[in-house]
Amino acid sequence: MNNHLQVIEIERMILRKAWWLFPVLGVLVSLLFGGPFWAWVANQPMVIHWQDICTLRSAILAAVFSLIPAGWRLGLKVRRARAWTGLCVLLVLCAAEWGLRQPTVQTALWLAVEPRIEPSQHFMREVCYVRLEENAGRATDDPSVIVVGSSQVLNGVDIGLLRSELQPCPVIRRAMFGMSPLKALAMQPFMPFQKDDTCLMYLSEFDFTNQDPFPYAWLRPYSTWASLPGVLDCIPWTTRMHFWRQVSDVSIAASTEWWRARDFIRQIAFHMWAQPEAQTLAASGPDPAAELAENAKARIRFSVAEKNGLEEFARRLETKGVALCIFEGDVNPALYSPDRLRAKAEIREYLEELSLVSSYRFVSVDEQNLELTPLDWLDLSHLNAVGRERLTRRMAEELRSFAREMDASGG
Amino acid sequence: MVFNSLVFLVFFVVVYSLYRLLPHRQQNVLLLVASYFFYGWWDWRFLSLIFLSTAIDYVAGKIIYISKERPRRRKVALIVSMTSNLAILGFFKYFNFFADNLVVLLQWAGLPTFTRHLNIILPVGISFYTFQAMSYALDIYRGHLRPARSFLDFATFVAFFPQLVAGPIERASNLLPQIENPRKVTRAGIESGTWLIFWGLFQKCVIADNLAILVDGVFDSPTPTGAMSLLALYAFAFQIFCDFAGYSNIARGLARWMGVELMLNFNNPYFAVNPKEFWARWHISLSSWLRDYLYISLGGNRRGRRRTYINLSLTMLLGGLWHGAAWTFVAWGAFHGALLVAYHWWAENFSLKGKPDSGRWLWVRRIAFFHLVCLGWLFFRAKSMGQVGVMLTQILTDFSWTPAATNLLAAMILFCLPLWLVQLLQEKTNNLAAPMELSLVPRTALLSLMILMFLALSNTGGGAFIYFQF
Repeated sequence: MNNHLQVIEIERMILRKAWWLFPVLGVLVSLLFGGPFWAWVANQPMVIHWQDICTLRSAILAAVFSLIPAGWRLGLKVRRARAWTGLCVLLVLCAAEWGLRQPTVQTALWLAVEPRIEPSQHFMREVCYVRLEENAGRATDDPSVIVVGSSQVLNGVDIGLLRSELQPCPVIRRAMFGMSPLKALAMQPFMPFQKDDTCLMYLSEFDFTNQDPFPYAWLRPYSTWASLPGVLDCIPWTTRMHFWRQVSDVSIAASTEWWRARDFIRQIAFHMWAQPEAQTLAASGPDPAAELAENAKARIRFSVAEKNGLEEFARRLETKGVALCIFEGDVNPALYSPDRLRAKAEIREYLEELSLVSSYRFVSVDEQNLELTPLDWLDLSHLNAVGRERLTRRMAEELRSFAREMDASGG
Repeated sequence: MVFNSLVFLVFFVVVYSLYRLLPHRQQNVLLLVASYFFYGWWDWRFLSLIFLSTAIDYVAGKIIYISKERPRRRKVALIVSMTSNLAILGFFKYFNFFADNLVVLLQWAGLPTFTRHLNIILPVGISFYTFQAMSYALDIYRGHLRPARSFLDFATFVAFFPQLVAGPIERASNLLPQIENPRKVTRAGIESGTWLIFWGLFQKCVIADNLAILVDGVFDSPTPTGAMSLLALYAFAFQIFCDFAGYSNIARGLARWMGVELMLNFNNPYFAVNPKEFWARWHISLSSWLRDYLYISLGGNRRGRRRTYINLSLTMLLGGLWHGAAWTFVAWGAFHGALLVAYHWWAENFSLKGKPDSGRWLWVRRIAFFHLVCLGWLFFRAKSMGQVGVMLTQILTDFSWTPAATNLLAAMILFCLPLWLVQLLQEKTNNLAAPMELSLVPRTALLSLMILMFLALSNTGGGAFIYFQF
C-alpha cells in the first residue's frame, strides 16, 4: 500500500476507535480552570473531586473537544495538505503566543515558578515577583516613587520605612540583585512608570565597573522590542559582534514570550510536582576578610555600556515625564583603596556632569552627610539594619524636599 | 562546531549556497575544503591524521586493485592499510588504557612496573573515519568494489562533513558512487531532509540534552535510591538514543539537501524483542560493519555452534571496546555478546526462529527486552564497575519513592512524549517518514507541539553529542 494511504488508514482507525479520548481531554482541560490546577500551581497536593469534573464548564469543553475528530476527518480530505501545514502551524503558534501572554496564564506561570525554585536562585525569584507585579498592574495612578537599583538597594533601603515616611505617596520597589543601569534600561518596560512619578536610583562605582560585557542571561527574561534596540545601542559594536550568538538569543526572546520565559518554563518542567531539594546555604554571610582580599585583587574596569545605559535610561524617563533622583551609593570604608577612591571620584564627577545634561537630581555622598562607619555595614557593600534606617530616612527627607521643589516649579 | 550551534548554521548556509552554484567537480572540491574546515574547527592539528589515513587507504586500494595477479602484494597492501588505521586508533584511543592495565597486571604479578601515562587528546570522530577508511580497502580486497577514480573523490568520501565525526559509518559502495557521479537535489529530498534535520535537532536539544540533566543528577549522586536509579536508567536509554539518532538524522537530512543518501543508522531499536533484532535496528552502520568485517572474518556461523558463540562474543566485546577505552564499555559489549549467545542458543534449542510476534505478547517481549537493554546501559553509563554494583543493589533493595522520583518521572514523560508518539506511528506503519505523511490536523498538531517545545524547553547549553568522544 502507498505510504501515505497507510498513514491515513491508521488515522481513520484512531478516529474510529479512540474518538472518546477527545471529550475526556476536554474534561481534563476544564480542570485547568478549577481548584486542582491552582493547587498544582501553588505546589500543593492536587485533590480532584467529582464536583470538579461534573461542571457545566467541563461539559462545554467536552463538547468543544468532541469537534476535534470532526475537524480531523475534514482534514483527511484536504488536498495538498503539505502546502497548508505551514499556514496552520503559524496560526497555532500565534494563538499559543497570544495565549501565553494572557494575564491569567501569566499569573499561573509566574505563580507556578515561584514555589519551584531553589532558595539560592535569587534572580529567578526576583523575576517572578517583577513579572507578577507587572501583570497585576499599578495599584494606583497617583504619582509614585519607584525605587530602582541593585542588591545595594534591596539591603540598603527599608521599603516599609520609606513608605511610612513618604505617606500618602505610594512607593513601588523594582530593585533586583545585580541591576546595573544597563539592566535597568532593559527592564524599563516592566517598570510601571507614569507621568509625574519619581524614580529613585542608588548608584555606586560598583554599578559602572567590572560588569558583564553582555549579561544575556539577565537580559533574556526582560527582552522586548521596546527596550532591546536601546540596550544593544548602548553596548559597543565590537562587544555585540563578539557576543553575536547571545544577541540572537535575546532577539528571539524579544519576539516571543515562549523563549523569553523559557528558563522558567523549564524550571517547572523539571520540578513538576515537588519543590527542589533545598541546597545547604551558608549559615552566615561571606567571610569579610576573604571578600576584602578578593575585592582588593580585582582590577577596576569601567564599563562604557553602563554609562550609555544610564544616559538612555534617564532620557527615556524624561520623555515619560518621570523625575529621576540618583543617590550616590557608598561602600564599606574597609574596602577603600586608592584605586577604588579614584574610581569613586571619577563616577561621582560623571554623575554630576550628567545631572546637568539630563536634568536629574544627584545627591552625592557628601550631600547625604550620613558619615557611615564600618559598623553600619553588613558586609563590604550592603548596609545592616542600622545603616539601612539611616539611609532610608535620609532618602525620604531628600525625596520630600525634591517633591516640594517640583511642585514649586510646576513640573 | 556542532550541528546544534549557530556557528554551524552560518557554516552550512555559506557552504550550501556555494554548493548549489557550482558544477559537480567543483562541488566535490568545496565539500572537501568544507569538511576539512569543519573538522579543523575542533583541532586543526588532527587534520594531518585524517589526511594520513585517507592517503594510505587510497594508495592501498589502488595497489590491491591492480595487483590481482599478485596475491602477496595485495595482502601486504591490505595489512599496511589495516595496521596503519588500527595504529592511529590504538595510539590515540587505547594507549593509556592498555598501559594502565599492563601496570596493574605487572603489579599483581609482582614484576617491576613503569609509568607511561601520556597526555593524549582523543581526536573527534577517529573511530568513525578510520572504520570507514578500513572498509574501503577491505571491500576492494574482497572484490566487492573498485577503487575511487580520484584522490579528491576518495578524500571527500572519507571526510564528508555531515557524517564525519559520528557516523553513520558509510560504506564506499554506497557513498563513493554518489560522490563520484553528479548529484541531483530534488524537492522531495529537501522536504524529507528538512524533516530529518528538524526531528534530529528536536531529539538532541529537547529530549537528549534535557534528559542528560536528569541522568547526570542521579549518576553524580553517591547514593541514589533504587527508584531514582531505575528512572535514571530509563532516561539514559532515551537520552543516548536521541543523542545519537538525532545526530544521524541531522547528518542524513543535511546530506539529502546536497543530493546524497546516507545509510539508515537507527530503526526504532527499543521496539526490538530480542538482541538480534536490536542490533539490526541500533547503530546499524556499526553493527553491520562488525558483522561484515569482523564476525564473518572470524568465521561467522560456518564453523559450528561453539565457534559461532565465541565469534559473537568476541565481536560484541570488541564492539564494546570500540565505544571507549574503559572496562565499563568492555562489560557492556560482553553483556550484549552474552545476550546474543543466549538468544541463539535458546532459539536453536526451542526453535523460536521464524515464529511470528503478535498482540499483547509482542509488547510483553518488547518491554522485557527493553529492560535488558537498560541493564546494559547501566554498564555503559556508569563511571566504574563499583557504581554498577551500587546502583543495581539500590534498585533491588531500596525502592523507596521520593518526590524527586515523581519529578524525574514527570519530566521524562514530558520530554519523551513526542518521541513515543512518532515512533509508535513509524513502527505501526513500518515507515520512518510516516510523520510527514500525516494529514493536516495531526501534522499541524505535531509540528506546533515540537516548535513550542523547542522554544520553551530546549537545552541551548547542551553541547556536544555523546558519540563524538567515541
